[in-house]
Amino acid sequence: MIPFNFKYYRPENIDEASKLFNELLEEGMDVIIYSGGTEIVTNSRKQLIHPDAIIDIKGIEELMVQEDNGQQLVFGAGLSITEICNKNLFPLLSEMASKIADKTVRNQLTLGGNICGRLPYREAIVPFLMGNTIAVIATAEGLKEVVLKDAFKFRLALAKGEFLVQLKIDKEILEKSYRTTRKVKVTDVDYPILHMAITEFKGDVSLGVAGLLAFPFCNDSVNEILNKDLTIEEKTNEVIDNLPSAIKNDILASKNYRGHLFKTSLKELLNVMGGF
Amino acid sequence: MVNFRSVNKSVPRRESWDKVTGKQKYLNDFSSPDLLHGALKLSNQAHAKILDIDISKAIIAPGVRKILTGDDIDRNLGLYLGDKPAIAKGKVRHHGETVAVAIADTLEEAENAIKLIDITYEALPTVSNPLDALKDDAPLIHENLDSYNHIDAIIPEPGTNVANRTKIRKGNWEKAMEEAYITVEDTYSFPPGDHVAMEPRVAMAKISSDGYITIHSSTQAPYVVKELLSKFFDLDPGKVTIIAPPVGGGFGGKAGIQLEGLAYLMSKSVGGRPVKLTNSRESDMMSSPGHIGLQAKVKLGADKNGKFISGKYEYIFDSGAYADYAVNISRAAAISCTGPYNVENVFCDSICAYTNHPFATAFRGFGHIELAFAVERIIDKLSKELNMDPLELRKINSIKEGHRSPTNQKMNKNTGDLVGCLDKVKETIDWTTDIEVVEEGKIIRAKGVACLWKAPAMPTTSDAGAILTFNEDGTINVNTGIVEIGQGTKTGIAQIVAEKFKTTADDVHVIFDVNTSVSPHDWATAASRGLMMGGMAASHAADDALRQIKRTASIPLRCAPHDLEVENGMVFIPDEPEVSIPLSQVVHGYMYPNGNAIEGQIIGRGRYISRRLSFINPETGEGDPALEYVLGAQAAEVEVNIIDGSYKVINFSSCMDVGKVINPDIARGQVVGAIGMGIGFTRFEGFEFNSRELIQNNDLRLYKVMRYDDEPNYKIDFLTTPQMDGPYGARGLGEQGIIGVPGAITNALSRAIGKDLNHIPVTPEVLWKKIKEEK
Repeated sequence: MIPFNFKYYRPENIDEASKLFNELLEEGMDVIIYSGGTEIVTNSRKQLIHPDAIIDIKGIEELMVQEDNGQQLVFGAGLSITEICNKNLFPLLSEMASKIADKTVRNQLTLGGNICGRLPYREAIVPFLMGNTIAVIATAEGLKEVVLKDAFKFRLALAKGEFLVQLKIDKEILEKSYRTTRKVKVTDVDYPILHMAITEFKGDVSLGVAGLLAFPFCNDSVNEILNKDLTIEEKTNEVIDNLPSAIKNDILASKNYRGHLFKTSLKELLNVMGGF
Repeated sequence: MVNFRSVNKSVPRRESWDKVTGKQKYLNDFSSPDLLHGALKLSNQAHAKILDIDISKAIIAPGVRKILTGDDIDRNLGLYLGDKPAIAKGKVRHHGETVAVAIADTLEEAENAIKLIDITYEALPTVSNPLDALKDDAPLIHENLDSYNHIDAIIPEPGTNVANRTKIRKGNWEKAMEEAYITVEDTYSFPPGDHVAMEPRVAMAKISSDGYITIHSSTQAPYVVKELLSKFFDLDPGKVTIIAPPVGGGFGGKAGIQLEGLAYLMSKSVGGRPVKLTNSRESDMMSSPGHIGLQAKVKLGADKNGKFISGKYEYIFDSGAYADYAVNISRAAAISCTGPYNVENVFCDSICAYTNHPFATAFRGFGHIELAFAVERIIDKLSKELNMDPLELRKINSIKEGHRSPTNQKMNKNTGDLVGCLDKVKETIDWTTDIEVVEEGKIIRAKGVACLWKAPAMPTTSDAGAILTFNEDGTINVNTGIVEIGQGTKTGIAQIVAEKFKTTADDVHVIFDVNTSVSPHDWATAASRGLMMGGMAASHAADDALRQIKRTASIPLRCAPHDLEVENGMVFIPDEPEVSIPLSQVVHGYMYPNGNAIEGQIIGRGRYISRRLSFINPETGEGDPALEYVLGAQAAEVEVNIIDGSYKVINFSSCMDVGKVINPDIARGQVVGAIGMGIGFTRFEGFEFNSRELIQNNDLRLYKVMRYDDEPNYKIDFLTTPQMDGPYGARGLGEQGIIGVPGAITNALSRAIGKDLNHIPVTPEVLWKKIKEEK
């Protein structure tokens, strides 16, 4: 039960949604973009959030797009994880996203919700960070397109009144081979203490990670190390020393255990993928 | 070989169709136009003085009828020891304790009012574990322990944090320990946690204009609630009715008195209007009781053949902030302190200590899963020292008929065949102490074994009753005080009655709701005694009804009642079967062709009271507290990744001597469910506290329970040494399957990594740290 009232809007197109979002914000309201509700409903029940209004974007066509446009794979932010996994346009995304929560949650949880919500794991962003991805963002002035790598630092940078519409990733990602691994505290349906992917194309290796740090990353300087002429042991040690921030230490796992899992998993994946 | 008509058949559970189609209504589904709703304000401190509670904003919030705080409470409640005010009074003793309640027209309004209550606390030093609680300088959780009412069997120690101490002194343990060829000693522990029953607790109370109190509750123990409410609130028991609809899982967590007292006070504060109080998942985990924690120290002495000759068992239980059932759990652990082994010289101090954790109540296994973890681990340690096979070591020490329990109670002819159980699991787990390498340097497999026993820890007067009435077609209605909590006992009781009538269980109807004003008295649906005691009462009620039926039928059939048999809905003379009459013409009285009627309806009455149970001696523990012991053996096979510590329980074998299997599928379901719960207990369950004793995992996002993909392959067997005073020889079997699980899994893991695991839960990170540890 959600023990407070809020205004509910269900706009039919992006312009309407964006206009509404900005108007409500200007009125001083706490407004949340809503689709699957897996975080919003549970956090509202516990009164951890008190939105004055929610804007349900499920009815907007652009947010429900899932297509191959010839050059790019396009994913609307309102797609459920299950829809993405079922269609399987982007196998690396399907593989990583299918590990999030459980099936009942994935039927509701959306791509946009996983990436822009309150929970810090954002596992579905990792495959997008590992390719050339454009984020389509709705603003008060209309749609804008930004390079995901530039727009995503600790999370996707959205100004007040902006929301994510689509992610478009270059199809060249499909040519890369990949391996992923996911570690949890005990039982599979849990937050990741480590969820990582390695891609490789003609000897070029790239690493994407969620759960290890306070934010997901696919970092150029880390990838440079992986492509140096070093042994796997040397690469792994150097990567650990050059992570973009400190390894997380929380109730799910200690910093040391996360570090150990990362190190052994990185070595294992590099080995499996041929040593490089 | 007896051919049974109904018993020993897998009759589907009566309530299953409604449950699997979502039609089953639980208490929180109930509503009525005049119903008010309650919400709880929980403490955000573990130990603190309450300096001020400001309700000024909450009381004027929309829809609010009343705000109650500790100031409105003038007496304590308790199960054995009256130590708990329904709302914290003066201070809070654990994180999540109820400090205020709001009563409002809607649940939303009550929840909103709660947010408007401001509480000022002054933090007090906390007690973080039971060993610390016993230290001389430990902060006192209950300063006025001497002023609390308690039953004689519970012995609190005022001026300390000891809520109860049970002593067992059998033989001369010190001398025997000195003479032992070998001794081993170690400590074992686990934290308190939650039951995580699917249905959070609910109570709904109303008071009629003439003072009759009706409380609907998700309880396993409606008669306990009735008795304690009447006692603690000075109510006329004849004016108190508790109604228990089917409950969505109890596991012991709903066996005491829970929200009922508070719901009564809430209704009383609003002029007797019905008030419903439903726990959220979080308040169910924090403000209502969970399972107990333990710190144990065990020393075992054996001769050179491995025969146990002396055991010293110190069990220090983490009761949390209040005593509830914990004072009896610690007592039950003392009574069974050795596990199912013949130990002639025994010392046991089992202490129930207050801490600033959420308080503990009954949990599946009731003291036995707790003691078994320590006992089964120390036995494996001994087997290692002696270089003996741990399964063989258990066999030579197995308790048997003629041996004496720790309380010096003689193990009678009903004693099960533990050696037979061990042989069975040896076969089904394909027992070996070898470690199998699945992937060199990475994946290994190992096996572990553990035994179990359990006697119900209950009042010496534990009883059950059954009333049989009949329908026009001759079919039977059974009314007992056993609550449906997902265990399927009502179906088993129907089978027992059907067997008596030599018919199928389809001809027996069971009544699901228990109403203390209508159903016969029944101690509680706990301690795995529903089938045995309720079944015996129903069996006696069937005998009583059959006597009456034969008498009525004998009149028109013109024969002696003892010439008659009842089978398939007919009463007849066996050697002249054409001399017969259908039950339908008898059960509501017989009517002659001219209209004359005789005898009237059949009402079968059956009762049961536990036989020859006694109190135990407070200094030595001597006495006969155990009604029946279920014995069993269990074994686990684990697969461990030694690089990251992750592991799976891949196979789990269990064999219990249950006397008689009344319903094979339900029996298997109970044992599999219990083992699954034990795997959760061993692998991940338990509260995690910060330095201020605040719970860090107080919701199901962080408090993980077993899922289907964590299930092993189960191999479940039963032996059937009959319980001569049980229905068709049956003993209880609801809880026992959990008891050996922590020992079997940790024994397997310890063997796999070559190091002793003495604390659960064993998460992968815990195992990894242990693997890394220097020997």
